[in-house]
Amino acid sequence: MSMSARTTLTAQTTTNKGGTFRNLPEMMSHGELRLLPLIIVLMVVWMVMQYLTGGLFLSARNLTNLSGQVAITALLTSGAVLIMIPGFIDLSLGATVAAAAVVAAMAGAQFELPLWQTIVVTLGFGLVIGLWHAFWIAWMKVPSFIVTLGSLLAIRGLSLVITNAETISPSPDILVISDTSLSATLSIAVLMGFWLAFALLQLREWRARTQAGIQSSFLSVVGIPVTSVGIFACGVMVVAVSYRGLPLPVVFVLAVVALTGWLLRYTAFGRRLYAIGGNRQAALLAGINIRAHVSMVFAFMGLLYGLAGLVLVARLDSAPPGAMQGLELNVIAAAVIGGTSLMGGRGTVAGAVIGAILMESLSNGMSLMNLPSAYQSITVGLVLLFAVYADMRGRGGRFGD
Amino acid sequence: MTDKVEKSGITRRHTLGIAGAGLLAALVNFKAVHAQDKKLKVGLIMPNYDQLRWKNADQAFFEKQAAELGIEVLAQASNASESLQASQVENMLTQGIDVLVLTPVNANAANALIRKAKQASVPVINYNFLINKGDVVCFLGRDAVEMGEKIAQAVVSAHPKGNYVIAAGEESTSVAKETRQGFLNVLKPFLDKGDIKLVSDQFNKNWSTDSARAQVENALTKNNNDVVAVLCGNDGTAYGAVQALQAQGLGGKVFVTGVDAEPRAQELIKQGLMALSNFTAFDQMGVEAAKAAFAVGQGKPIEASATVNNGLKDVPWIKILNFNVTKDNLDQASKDFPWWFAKQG
Amino acid sequence: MSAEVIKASMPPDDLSGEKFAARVSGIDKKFGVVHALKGVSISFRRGDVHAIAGENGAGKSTLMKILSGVIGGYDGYIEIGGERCRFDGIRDAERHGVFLVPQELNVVPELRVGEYLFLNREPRRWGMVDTRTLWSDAVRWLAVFKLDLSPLLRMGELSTHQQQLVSIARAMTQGVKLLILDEPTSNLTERETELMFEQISDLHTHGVTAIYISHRLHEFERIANAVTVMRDGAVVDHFRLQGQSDTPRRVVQAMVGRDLTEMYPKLAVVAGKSKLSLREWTIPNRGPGRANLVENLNLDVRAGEVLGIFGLLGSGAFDLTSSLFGAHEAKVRGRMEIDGRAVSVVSPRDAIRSGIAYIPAERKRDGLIEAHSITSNMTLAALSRLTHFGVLDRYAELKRVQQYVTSLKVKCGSVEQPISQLSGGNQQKVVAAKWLLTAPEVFILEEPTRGVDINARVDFYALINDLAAAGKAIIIVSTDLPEVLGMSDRVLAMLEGRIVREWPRGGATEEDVMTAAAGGSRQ
Repeated sequence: MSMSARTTLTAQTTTNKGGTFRNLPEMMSHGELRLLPLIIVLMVVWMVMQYLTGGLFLSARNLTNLSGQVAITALLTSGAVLIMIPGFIDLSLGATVAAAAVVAAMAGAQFELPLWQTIVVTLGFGLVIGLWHAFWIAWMKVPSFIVTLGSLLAIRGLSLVITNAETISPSPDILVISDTSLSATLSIAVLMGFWLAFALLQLREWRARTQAGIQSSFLSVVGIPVTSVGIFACGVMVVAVSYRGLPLPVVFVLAVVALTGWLLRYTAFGRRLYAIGGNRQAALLAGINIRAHVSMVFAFMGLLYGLAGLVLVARLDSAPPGAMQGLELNVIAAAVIGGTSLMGGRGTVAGAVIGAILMESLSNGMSLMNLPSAYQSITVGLVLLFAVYADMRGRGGRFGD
Repeated sequence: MTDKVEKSGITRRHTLGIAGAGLLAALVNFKAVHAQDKKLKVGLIMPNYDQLRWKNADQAFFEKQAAELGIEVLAQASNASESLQASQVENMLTQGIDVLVLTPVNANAANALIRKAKQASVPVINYNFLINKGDVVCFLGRDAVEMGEKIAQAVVSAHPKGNYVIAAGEESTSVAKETRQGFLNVLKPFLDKGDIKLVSDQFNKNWSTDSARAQVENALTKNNNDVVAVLCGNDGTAYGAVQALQAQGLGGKVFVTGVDAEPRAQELIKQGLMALSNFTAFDQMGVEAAKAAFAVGQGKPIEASATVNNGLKDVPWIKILNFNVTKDNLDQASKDFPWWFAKQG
Repeated sequence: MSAEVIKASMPPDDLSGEKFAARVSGIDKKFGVVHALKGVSISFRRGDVHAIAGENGAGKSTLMKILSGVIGGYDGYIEIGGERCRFDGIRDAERHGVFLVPQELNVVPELRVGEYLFLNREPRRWGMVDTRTLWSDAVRWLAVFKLDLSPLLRMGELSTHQQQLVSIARAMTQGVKLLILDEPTSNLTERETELMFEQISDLHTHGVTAIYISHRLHEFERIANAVTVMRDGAVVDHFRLQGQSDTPRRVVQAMVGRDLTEMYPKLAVVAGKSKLSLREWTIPNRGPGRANLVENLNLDVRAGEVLGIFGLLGSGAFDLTSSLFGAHEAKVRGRMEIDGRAVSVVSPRDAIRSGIAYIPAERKRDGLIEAHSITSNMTLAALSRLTHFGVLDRYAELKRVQQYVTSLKVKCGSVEQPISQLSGGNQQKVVAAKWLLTAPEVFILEEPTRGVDINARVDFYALINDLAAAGKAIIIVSTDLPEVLGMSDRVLAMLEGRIVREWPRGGATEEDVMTAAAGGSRQ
């Protein structure tokens, strides 16, 4: 989807006079295939995990589990990228998602609302918090760090008060969200549709470039990205078909990733987000309505709180008010590993999701090897450190010089 | 300087790859899980490693007994996180365990986990905290009501009259509620007669020391320090009570009770700041759990002395021995349970 | 004239080695495929002030970086005082007596003047810094250089000019033989420039040779003994100054191969109706009791007219321009009409919608997004014209960008290149294109050719001509007085928020305008 999201922004395509494979390293550093190295790392990790777990890791069952384990992070990190690119941040995630889960549980269990109403109420709750953030950050110009940190504390406290620190069980019909899987045919249809849409968009980009008279390598714009996504889609299909089908949370993730990725890469809205993060003053002077854009991304994030809350309450079949401690850090870490800068101006949704999968794969694999969870934390922490360091070096190597 | 810059575009990904590969290379030394053994595979999940007992008592003795029985144990601690516990259960099931021994982080949030196990046809043994409406094969835990009664008996023998404080534990756990119920069972006749007055009776979130301290301070203030006994839900809360009393110069003058007989509590008992702490033989609990897992794995019936109703059904209940540890029997206890009591200092 | 011919006709400077403070010979440097320096050879006579001129991209900055030890990896050799050297970093170069005074000093602002003077060469006693000697020596040196500064002042508190002087002083205290001055007067006032010239003239009495890099060709006659002109990585002209008066012309000719008279190719355009009019335009100052930044200004600019405004610091000229675009933070009062319609401009978005374009003085800070591509920068203000229901029409976007790159002659590899890789002039062209894409009626230009090389400048002036011919109104505010005078139909001088004098084209000299802006009067 947004694998080559940075083409317009910092690509350094060299004029290709045949010999496109020679240009590969260059394209991988700045250009179209920027995400390829990260994907290769993920593949390596998966291979090693597969070996170390005696074949368990890549089993259809485990991969399906993995998708459930990573779903919440993946959903939120897509929204986080939209917020971080213009240079903001959201630290409230753990509290807001847990609160949304509480709302979902209460709606179903205590107020006995039907499922669809529960969903609407939960999404609405998330949206309200998102708008609250938007108000303080975009209109009152309070730094997002402070506003969302405040939410992190206040909303956690609010959850505990409302529930009296008790864990509420939701109404059983909410389990539909975690237990439903698409049938094999539907799964294939969804994945193929996803892949086809991506292929068409990349094709369109390549055609636009060549028609405008710009040298563009078919291989790097269409060939490699579309093939990689195709392989990924096929892999997912195989797993889905051989186990239980595509779980609903994964469908949500695909939908959110597709939407946010498309927004960032193919719309003026996305382009303006990058501009706001790249140089806010220049963006302002170019007539961009910064306030409106920032409000919209935080409001959208609010909807994601609600969605993630629904997935959470279904997964745990309960709404512990203290759940998801530290979620915000995982989400931000995933985005950073995937190439989003904490200072704004760059990043992709695809990268962030791959980052999330990478982190969760490490945890999952180590859990399958029965290593204590402490080791998992150490590993993920180290990987994050390396990723950020290498990211700083890669950006011209003059950071802090 | 300029020359270096041109190459560093690759560095980021390179380093990621090297880091990933390097860490994993280091991990190669850890044993990989092989699924071809015919040994019984049991998953043991502890709620956290924060409290002393989980790693040092429950898990340690479980693993010892399991080794003797020839059971392979996969042990994890859930770091007090419900979602981590969910992932751990999933991953253990993937590794093909035959039986799951589960200590829930949150007794009200554990049914999803039991359901997952059931889907994989893995029976669940409920450990220490009773899971509400859980479809489990048996429950291991002390009889908290009986324990509460035992403690209260000791207290009223020493102080049949006066102002009492109950500093109970985490309200959402059955242990806390039942211990308190046990206290009240014994105290009821005295309360009715008016010999004993309950001037403060609260649950303390998360068994918090600070919360208990505040509770006792307030009770002392309200009653002009006229309190004869403080019955605490566990040692953690007891420490808070002791701190509050010492601050008022009442150290050693008030009858303070705790539960678990942790090393620090043992110190306080020796010093006379705590009167007693009830000890449950966690080692026995671990051993019994291993035996029960073995039985379940073999398809044999479980030997349990009682049953308990968890809201769904009557579950076989393997009760664990408990007794009050005081200054008088501390030395004996050290001999009987060296692995716990020998940890002095 | 081709480079080879010019070189061959160079006067025979190759006398015995001692006459030369330094020599570079056959310096060749490539950055990947870019051939930055092509066998450059220059001899610097001892005690000379040797000017080097050339557009950005001519290679002079690369050459200076090699000379001062910043970069290496070149072919050819450097000789300092007859001794061949290859520097291993800046400190190594400094140890050999080569010091660079850059355009902007990159020093920790908390560092005190005295500490900076002796940085890394502090007087020591028993292994520790001898602070007494440090300060007393500092006082002494500052007196020698007639710098009226306390050595206790922090570098951050000094003006750019003072920092430069201290930097020169530092080089002197450390035994400089070859002092490289990079655009020393570009950020200075007239008076400071005079003082700088004094300092530079003094240098040769201390036996120091100076290399003077500047775009201000008219300064050469005042200060330089020799001039070398570079173009495209090679030396294209070299001569000694012996009192001729047409130095700038000769230099420009060498730099671009064209005549100076084409420098300001202003075409006369018959102005039409009033395009932009301001009435009672007032910009208040921050804080009570302070005079307004712009006071009750009335202004008219007609279609096809180029209005030039000149003002010194605090005159309000730049406040005026940013307020016209809705980019001023103060609450501006007054009425604005465009094409006879009243408009309210409270934000840049309003301004763009009303047809106003704004090229700000600080290109990097306000005009560009450095990390982004040429395409992304160029289309930023006009995105709504290149979308269908919010989705970008990439073909349309790329096509338009290509069109402008061609018509404005932007030198770049690919339109998806990061804009930071372009030279200043080409970047400014992209900024201009950004605004052309919004099809405005009024253009406000602040310092339009700052940091822009000669060739690009001429292109810019041609663009301004075209815009005027198309009936747009153009306002130029610039501190480059010749530019203001050369390109405007009318010139205004501003002082303290008001217009103090107005001249038609050709009706004022530089002195007239400068005097009026400074508050004096001249008959």
